[in-house]
Amino acid sequence: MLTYLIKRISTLILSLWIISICLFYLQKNVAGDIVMLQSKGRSNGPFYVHPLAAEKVYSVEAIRLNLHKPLFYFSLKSALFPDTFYRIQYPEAIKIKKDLLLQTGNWPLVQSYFQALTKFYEIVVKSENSSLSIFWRERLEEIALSSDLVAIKSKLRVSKEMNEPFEVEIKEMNGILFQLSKCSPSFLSWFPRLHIYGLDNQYHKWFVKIISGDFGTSSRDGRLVKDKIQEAIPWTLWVNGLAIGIAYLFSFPMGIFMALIPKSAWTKWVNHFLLALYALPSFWIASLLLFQATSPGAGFPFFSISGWTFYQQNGGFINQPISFLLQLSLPVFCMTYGLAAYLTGYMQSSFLKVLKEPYIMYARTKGISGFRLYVRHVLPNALLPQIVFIAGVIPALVTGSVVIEVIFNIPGMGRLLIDSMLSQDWATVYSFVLLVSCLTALGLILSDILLVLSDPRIRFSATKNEAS
Amino acid sequence: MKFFFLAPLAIVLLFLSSCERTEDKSIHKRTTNEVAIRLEAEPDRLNPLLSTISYARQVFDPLHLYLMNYDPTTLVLVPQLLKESPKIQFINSGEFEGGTKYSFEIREEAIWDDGKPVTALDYEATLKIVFNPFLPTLGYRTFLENIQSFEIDQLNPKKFTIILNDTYFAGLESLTNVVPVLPKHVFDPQNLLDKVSLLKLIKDPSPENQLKNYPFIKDFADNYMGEYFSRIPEGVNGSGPYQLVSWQAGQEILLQKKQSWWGDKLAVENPAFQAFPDKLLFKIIPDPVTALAALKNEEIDVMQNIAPEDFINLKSDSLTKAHFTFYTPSSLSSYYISLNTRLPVLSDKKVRRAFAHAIDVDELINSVFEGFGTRCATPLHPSSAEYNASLKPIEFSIEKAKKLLSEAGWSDSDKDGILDKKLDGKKTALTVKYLANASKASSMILAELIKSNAKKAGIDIVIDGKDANTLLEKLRSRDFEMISAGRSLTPQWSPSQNWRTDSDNRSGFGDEKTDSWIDEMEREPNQSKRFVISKKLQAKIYEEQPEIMLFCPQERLVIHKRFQAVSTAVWPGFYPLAFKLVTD
Repeated sequence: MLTYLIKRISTLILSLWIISICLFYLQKNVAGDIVMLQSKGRSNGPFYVHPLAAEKVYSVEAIRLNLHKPLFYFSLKSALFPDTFYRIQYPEAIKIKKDLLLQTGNWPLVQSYFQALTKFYEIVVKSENSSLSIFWRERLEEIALSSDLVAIKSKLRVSKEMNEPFEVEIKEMNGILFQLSKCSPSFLSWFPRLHIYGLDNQYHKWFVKIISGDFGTSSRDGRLVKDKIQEAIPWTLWVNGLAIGIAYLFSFPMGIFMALIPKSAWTKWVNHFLLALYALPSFWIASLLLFQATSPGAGFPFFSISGWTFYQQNGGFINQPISFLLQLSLPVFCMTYGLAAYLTGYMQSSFLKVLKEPYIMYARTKGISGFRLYVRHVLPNALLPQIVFIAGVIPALVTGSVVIEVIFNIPGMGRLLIDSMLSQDWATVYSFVLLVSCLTALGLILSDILLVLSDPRIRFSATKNEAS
Repeated sequence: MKFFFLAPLAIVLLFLSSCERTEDKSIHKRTTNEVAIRLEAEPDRLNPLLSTISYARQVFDPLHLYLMNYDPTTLVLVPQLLKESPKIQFINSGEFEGGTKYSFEIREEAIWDDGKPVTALDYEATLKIVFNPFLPTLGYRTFLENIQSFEIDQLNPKKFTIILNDTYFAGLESLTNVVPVLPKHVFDPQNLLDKVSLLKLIKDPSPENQLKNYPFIKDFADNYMGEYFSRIPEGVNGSGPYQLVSWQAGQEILLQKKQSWWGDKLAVENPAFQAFPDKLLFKIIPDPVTALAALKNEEIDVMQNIAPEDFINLKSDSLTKAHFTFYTPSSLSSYYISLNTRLPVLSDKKVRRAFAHAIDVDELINSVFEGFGTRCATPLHPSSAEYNASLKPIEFSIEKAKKLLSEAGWSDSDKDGILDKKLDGKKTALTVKYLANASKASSMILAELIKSNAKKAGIDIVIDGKDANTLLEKLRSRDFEMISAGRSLTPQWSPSQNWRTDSDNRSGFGDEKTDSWIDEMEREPNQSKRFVISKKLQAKIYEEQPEIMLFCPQERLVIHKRFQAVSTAVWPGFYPLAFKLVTD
């Protein structure tokens, strides 16, 4: 069993590691630039300036956020790209430089082209003649955002009057452009080349932090992600724990009872009813309840939307536990009814299935009947499939229901997730996803072990096949 | 079991019971002098220098005082921490020639909570934080980087002078209303900032160089970014009338009036110091439906930004009417469509004007915003004195649009219903991609309405729905043809931010002439002379139509009846400090 467990756990760790790489990759590729997101102030932010001036401002912020390191331990890129390409951070600059590099294959030349362009821009900005300066600023913006060599050349061809003051610069640019147009990437350079960056990379830093329990700080409010999750988890645990607990408490006896009288009209009707209940969308019921609960003169006068703080202020300390539970009653109800309906049906069918097994028939012929038969022979076998659910229950306890938490204004994990997503707080979102992946892994292991322990017929090897 | 049988019955009962309302309408549930305000999103920080979420401003503003602040009703800048409006001198000679000198004096009464006086040293240190290159305060620096000199009176630390390098008309606002004065002895107890020169920080924003000058500056920034100065009462409180009591994450933030606040004595005569409510309770309820339910249940007293159709429904609800007053102040913001004039198709101003004629703005206001909007013709608010009222909003007329387009050389040569023209020798159809915010229903409806009307004029509009961040990125990289956008307006228009050719000028408007107008206007200290130039500039923008101005929306605001309140054009439309409890 020990070797089996070790094997199982190591595959899980491997998959968690792969998940972490995927998450990191996603984090780096979502729309919305982290630097710009962090530096927006009262105005529209500093990056709506000329692209040739923006890069400088941008990289100052990028260094502050530690984005100037390579992404991963290694990179596998066309040999055209220099191993220091990651140092370019400004999104527009990356795009244009990449395009030019792919066209020409000559990195030093591309670099000197941009140096010349920036120099040109700096001279233009200092120019005293405003009409000239406006003209060239716009021209240079177009040039800086273009990677079409022919178009760039034609944009540099201007009237004599505009050309004269910057003759030297334009000549230099034209020289470089001429050289660039002669270049083309050599055949060999299309083969990928491996760059090894070592441990000083963004992913490594992030991953080491994560496994040492440091989930980083939220880009939204600068708080530790760990603190935010710690604050949100109790709410979700309460709601989901109660919901799942009540659902099981209800569905087990109910399912068994219905399985014992499968043909009665009562069972039939209840089954219909449960199906209908299962089909009712919880967000709809939640919205209805919410309005009824709070409209004066109707519904549940004990429920207030602004949460239990309302009771704290109005009800005093002694009332707290009761009002707290009352406060949770509506969200818990909305979470429970569907699950309970589903589990009842599930329990009922697995109980029925076991009842039809030959060994039960054998037990009956041996004279075992009634309570003893059901409790000792049917129930343990009918519970087996339920164990698989544990794998799902553990992460479900924590993830919560986004919809329910938003509607009832519960500051739990679901609302934390949606708020973080909307404000592009990826540190929180990915820590959340990672946490759920770990819990799912944990649930899988736990259900495996429980299955093995509870049913000697399932061998380790068999489980392994099943699980993989 | 029985419970489940009762469930559908209960639901039916709930429906029925909603019809009868037996409660006495004249009795309010809430009676205390505590204003409960709904917040759409949780603030990120209660730090005026670091917060990036606009909702935070509502919460931290009552904690602080500015040197001068806008009066919420008159929108005039009035002294708050200052004794009086500063003396302004234009410098005609010497080192700072061409600049402006402002002489300030802070009120004698002004003290921090621990009794220490508010002095110029506090303000200077606050500005040093703004210019700390390791803090994300870039947005504020642009307003203050013109400072050439900051001198504190040797004898009276409440007196100080600042010199700006030019005669920028909004200089006074930048110096007095951009950042509040924060308590130096709280954020800098070791007096580290005394070693730092403010002017050095302003002149060289590079982090590496400043780290060489002041090795402690990064640690200072990291410490300042911590929770203490953003969430903990001792760290966030200022000289304002309120103090932070508690912040329950995701639930509520409670502010309480300071017991013996120094400004109370002044409040009798000076409305800038009025602070009537005992407590301000900010309830964080992101979901609009949930917030409406809380409003109906009188759990909140103030709610703004209510969806137009909900607002109308609320108005017809007798119970809500019994407890709340409805306000629709004009808000200082406007909606417009930006056209990328750099593109060949949109480079002709006749084409752009034709687009403007093809949009039925009145229908937009009525169908999407239920009539809560005022038309405008220029980028300013129509109620502003600076607004050029001689320019009339462009009327909806497909005929005029067609005429202008044919004048510009567009015709339907291939009879496919879409106009075309030879541009650079290539036949080009009048097809324009319109970027809309896919996550906002109103933005998409707006796009559909515009598309269907433009079609009649032979313009083919292709709607491209994208999320808000992608839209911003596309705007920034000028990768758009036509895009719907909104902007918030300031009481004073400073066109250099959006209309100068070297600024955040998305549409590509402007030339040498308009740039010089803008410079001239922003350096003109005389208001009436400035307005003349401003109106000229507005007329030029109107003529060029780089942006099709749609309308200025009205705020939809509800305030509990137990408070006597006045709405304001300043976001969020109300000023809770001036809420007076009505006693019968």
